[in-house]
Amino acid sequence: MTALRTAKGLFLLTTLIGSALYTAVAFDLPWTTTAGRIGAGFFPRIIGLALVVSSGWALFNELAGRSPDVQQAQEQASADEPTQVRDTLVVVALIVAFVPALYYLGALIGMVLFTLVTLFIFNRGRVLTNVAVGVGFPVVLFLLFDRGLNATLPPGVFDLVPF
Amino acid sequence: MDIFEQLLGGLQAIITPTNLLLLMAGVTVGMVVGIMPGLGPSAGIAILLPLTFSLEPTGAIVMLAAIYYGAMYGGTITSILINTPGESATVASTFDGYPLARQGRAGAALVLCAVASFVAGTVGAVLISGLAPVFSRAARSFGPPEFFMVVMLGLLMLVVIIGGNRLYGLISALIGFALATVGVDIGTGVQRYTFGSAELVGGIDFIPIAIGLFGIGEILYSVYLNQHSVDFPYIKVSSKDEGFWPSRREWRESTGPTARGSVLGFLVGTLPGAGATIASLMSYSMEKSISKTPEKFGKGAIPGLIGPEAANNAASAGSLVPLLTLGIPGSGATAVLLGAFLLYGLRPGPLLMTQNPEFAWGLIASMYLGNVVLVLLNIFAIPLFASFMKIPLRIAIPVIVVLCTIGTYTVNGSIIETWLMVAAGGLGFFMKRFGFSPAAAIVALVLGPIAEETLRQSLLISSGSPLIFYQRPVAFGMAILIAVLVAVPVAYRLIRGRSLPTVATGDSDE
Repeated sequence: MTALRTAKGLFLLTTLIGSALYTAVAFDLPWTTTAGRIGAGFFPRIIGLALVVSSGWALFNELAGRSPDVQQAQEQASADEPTQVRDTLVVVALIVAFVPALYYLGALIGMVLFTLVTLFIFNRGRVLTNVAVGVGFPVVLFLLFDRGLNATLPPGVFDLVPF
Repeated sequence: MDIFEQLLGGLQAIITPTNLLLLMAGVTVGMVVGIMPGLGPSAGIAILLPLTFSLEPTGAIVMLAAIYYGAMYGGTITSILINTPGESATVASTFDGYPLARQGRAGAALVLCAVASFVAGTVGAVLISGLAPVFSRAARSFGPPEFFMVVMLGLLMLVVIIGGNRLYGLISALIGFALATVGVDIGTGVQRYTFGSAELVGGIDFIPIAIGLFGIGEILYSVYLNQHSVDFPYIKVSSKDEGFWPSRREWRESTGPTARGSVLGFLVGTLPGAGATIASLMSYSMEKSISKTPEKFGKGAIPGLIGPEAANNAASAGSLVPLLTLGIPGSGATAVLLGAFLLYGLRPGPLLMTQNPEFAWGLIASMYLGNVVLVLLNIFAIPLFASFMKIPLRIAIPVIVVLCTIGTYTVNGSIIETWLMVAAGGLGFFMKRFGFSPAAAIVALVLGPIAEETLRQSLLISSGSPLIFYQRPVAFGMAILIAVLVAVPVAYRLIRGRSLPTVATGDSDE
């Protein structure tokens, strides 16, 4: 529960800092135009100030340990659930690696690599299934988008796929 | 032109081989999306939206809408067979559905739900046929002040009613509004938050954000909850089983709840911000309170399953009323649908039914057909769809991530938008983790430009005076309602010393 509160506190603090930065930029935008009408900064200033106030208030409540009853019940339930931080970070790392792989290696190779690696990490021991899904699904998707829908897929810097 | 003629016209517009194929594909995909725990109609529509870009607008929207109500049918299967709701709107189906399955009545429960969903969906389609033109005519007198108030009211209802923490819901909506301000300000031509990037000049497209929040965010959250390591033990169902078909008594017991759930669900669904989740939970409470045997609820009571099931399907039809006639989405899924409408050059609102009648009535007509297809699929292909649940999440992870990423890339061929999707995925994870509302964020992202435009126009009309919102009766009425929505929870807390109960089912996905 303490770890959850710390993590939530950090998230709220990040939101507060982001809101403050957003609002600071909003105050650089004009409030009204030269003709006296609503300027580009009108809406952002209202949103920014509301965000700063609400996220600040939420952070204060969190630090003071004041949460609505329902929120506390949810947090207690969450604290009791088994969680997989390591696996979540692995998935995040894979996704972050997938995007440049798409860009540099092209859609088909990028998809195949990502799917195979993910399956061999999380679906261990099932080689046939992993290869079938890891190769089959990207190929089907590639054909669907590239040929069926004529959609733009990343060719890759080296354009390794000849067709 | 009367309603029947217009409906026939709509039917003619969509009865083409292509549109019928798209309808069937949509309901099938919607069922599969609904079956997969964690993925709801919002994620399904957002992820599959890029696939529809090469289609005609009518066909594309028919398919996306079919995914929406198909997912409502599919979510029930997991609720009954593995006690895990496919999306938040089918939470109530677990209360009595799973106990029924454990008693060997899984087949009967699923068949009864299929029929109740069909009846409710058809009732919803009939009611929308009657009410949509009425709402549309009433809304034609709306000007910018009224529209601004409707946007604020819809968003506030979403924040106030759903979620464990209203403050977090408000922050989520404000984040959505903030994202919507990125790009060129239409009124003045000034660039906002672009930081010199050519990619951001056009603003942040809602598709990468929607796919990231609902698709990637959901996957990360499911992994975090260790759902990828679990093989759900599910109750096998086959049409050859002795108890597959409902008995006469069960049919009789389901007629009242079906009728009541249909009407209640539709009415609740029409409220912007409310939706299928609230409708199903209200129906459950209602059935339990009027039942002569309330002690059976939670142990396999037919009314406890059928009432909420009918309500959630009727509500999905009801939620299309404010979407089509006012252009106001009431949930994440309808916000993504609204985004799709705008992408195809269709502006939902009071003029939609007069300027694009073939589209509006075609969509309504497609709901009738979609319900017929769904009931047939549900009754005769239940074992096939149930087998999808055997696919463990650890195999679905790369499939869903690849679909999300490629789908996002194909929208504008932009790797920057793909990175935005990844960032939105991270944000969506933390939002779900800490009780924020991705649905409120996406609704605000879609409505933000409309809110700013109508506010600007209102103040232009009134020469800068905010009194315009009080001088116009409808806008003033909505302002009062907004004040009440804000004041009631605060007053409740002050008087009772605790928070007003909300529908704390996590984020509403429908």
